[in-house]
Amino acid sequence: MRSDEQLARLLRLVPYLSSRPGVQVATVAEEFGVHPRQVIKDLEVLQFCGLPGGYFDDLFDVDIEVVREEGRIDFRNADVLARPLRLRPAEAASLLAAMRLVVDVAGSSEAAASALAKLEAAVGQAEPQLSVDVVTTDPEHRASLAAAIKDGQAIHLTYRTPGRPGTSNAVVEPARLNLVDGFTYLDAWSRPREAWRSFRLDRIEAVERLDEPVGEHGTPPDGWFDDVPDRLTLTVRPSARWIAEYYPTTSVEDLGDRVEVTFPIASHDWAVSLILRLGGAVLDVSDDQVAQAARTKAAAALAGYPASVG
Amino acid sequence: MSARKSERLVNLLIALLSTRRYLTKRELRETVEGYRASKSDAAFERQFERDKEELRNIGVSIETGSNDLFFEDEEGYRINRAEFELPPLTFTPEELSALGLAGQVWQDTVAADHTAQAFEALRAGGAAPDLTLVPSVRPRLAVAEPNFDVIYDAIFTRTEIQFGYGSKPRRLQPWQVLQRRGHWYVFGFDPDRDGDRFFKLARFTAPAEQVGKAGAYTVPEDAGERAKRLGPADSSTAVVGIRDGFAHDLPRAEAVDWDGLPDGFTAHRISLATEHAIVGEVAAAGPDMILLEPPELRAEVIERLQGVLA
Repeated sequence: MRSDEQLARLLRLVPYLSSRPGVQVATVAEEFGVHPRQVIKDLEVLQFCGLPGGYFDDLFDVDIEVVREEGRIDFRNADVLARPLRLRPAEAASLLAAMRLVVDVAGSSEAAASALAKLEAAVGQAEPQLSVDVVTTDPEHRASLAAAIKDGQAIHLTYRTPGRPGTSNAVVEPARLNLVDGFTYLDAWSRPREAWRSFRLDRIEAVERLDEPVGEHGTPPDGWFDDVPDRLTLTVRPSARWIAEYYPTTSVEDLGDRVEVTFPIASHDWAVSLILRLGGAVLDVSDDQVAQAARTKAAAALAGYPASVG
Repeated sequence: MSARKSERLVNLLIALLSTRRYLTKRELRETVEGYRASKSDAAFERQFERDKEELRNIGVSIETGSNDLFFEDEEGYRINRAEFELPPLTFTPEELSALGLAGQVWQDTVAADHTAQAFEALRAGGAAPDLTLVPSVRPRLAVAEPNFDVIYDAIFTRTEIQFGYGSKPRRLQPWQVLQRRGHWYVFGFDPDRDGDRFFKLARFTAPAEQVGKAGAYTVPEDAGERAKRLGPADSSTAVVGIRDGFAHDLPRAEAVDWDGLPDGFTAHRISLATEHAIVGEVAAAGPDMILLEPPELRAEVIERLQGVLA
């Protein structure tokens, strides 16, 4: 354990304990995330602390024998540390960044925004050492999705799919809003697909709440690619190695003059787009159908540049 | 940390906190249990300097000054209670639930530990975040970057880091970590290039290490502003024809007039971070986008598409 963490904990234990006479060792251990033995060790230190002078009634008053035997703590004579140490800079930065994300994803929740404002005022932090940009989404969409989730209502969703013209529609049963790596997703039970699906909020065009209750489908699974069985391996020149860090992969093999990258793929369209994006840097495609589709699309695209043909 | 050292630090802190006058080193040595055992003046001095640094590490600032304005009094020390204590905070039950959500944001990083410790401070101060709510929103930050913890820690201790980037070792005085569109960056001062720089964590080729002493540099007050200014900005532009109704992910596409486009296409001016990114986006869209100008990027798209056919 780092020494600054222990010192910070000692200084917080004092006001915590003196405002909770008779609190159980086990409760303290759980709330401070340490082993009960550590709580007793901390008390062994604190019993010799207090106002300078060294007289008996200058010190904090805690009976260690009672703590050991009965597991309860009565901590007294600690008015000098009535309030806890304020947040350390790293604590403040981590909590504020987390709270800002809650505000970003929480739709119309005023409680989240006001809690953040109170924290910011109490912590008084000028420069954030940590910042997370969330891709902007429509607050009205967030608010009506949050309300539909709360009320257990199905919704009619209109959304865009990258690489496809126009918009798609589906009736889905919304379960939760997820914020993953800067993008907000709706996790919902898709009625037409009879399966869990994730929809990126910045691609949702319209949300219409329906007067239909949601069914019982359990909890949506964790992880975005859970329902994606397909894999595709691209062999690329080293210049295209960046794809391995840019997209989720299942394996990456460096072979010197080439790199083999295997992806989970949600759709063939996505795979075809990736191959077009990479052009001549792709040396081999594990799926012939995908490779053929990419060639067809490239030829069609080149037709848009008349001077280049012939 | 040894029990004796913890005890000495808590007692030193209480002595400095409970005084209104500045306490001289001699007074501290006489009153703080733990200094009395010092064998020599030099041993006491060294210990006292280290102890002040330990208190600073947990965010406690120690004021220095003298009690007598007219005489060259010996310098003394004290801690300002208002700066030390967490100010009174009261939250509504809804706000405490929102705070509870913030506790679930960070996954498996040192920032998760810091958030938990911030909660300890809030609990000790009488504002316990409510963790019982089963949330319908789940903001998550999973940091899959092995270097994150080392960098994050270095920012708060103000320690220079060294890492591999491309084929070269690099040095950086880190100021901030940022997530933009799902990717993590570190921003700071690069002493070798004498300027502010961004580095993408996914591109590190050798692990980050802290080098040299803590507190080695100061972070400029406008670090956040500079990050915004320098941040991965959208500085490259092009005009592209986009098939009507085609769903694309291009931010801020602005329709413009253009002669000679095929039917069903509309010209747009688009901006992205680099020319390379523009070529990639247009190629990936296949026959649904045509790059119109500038001509050199148009040539690159054609080359990219021909590469697929080769």
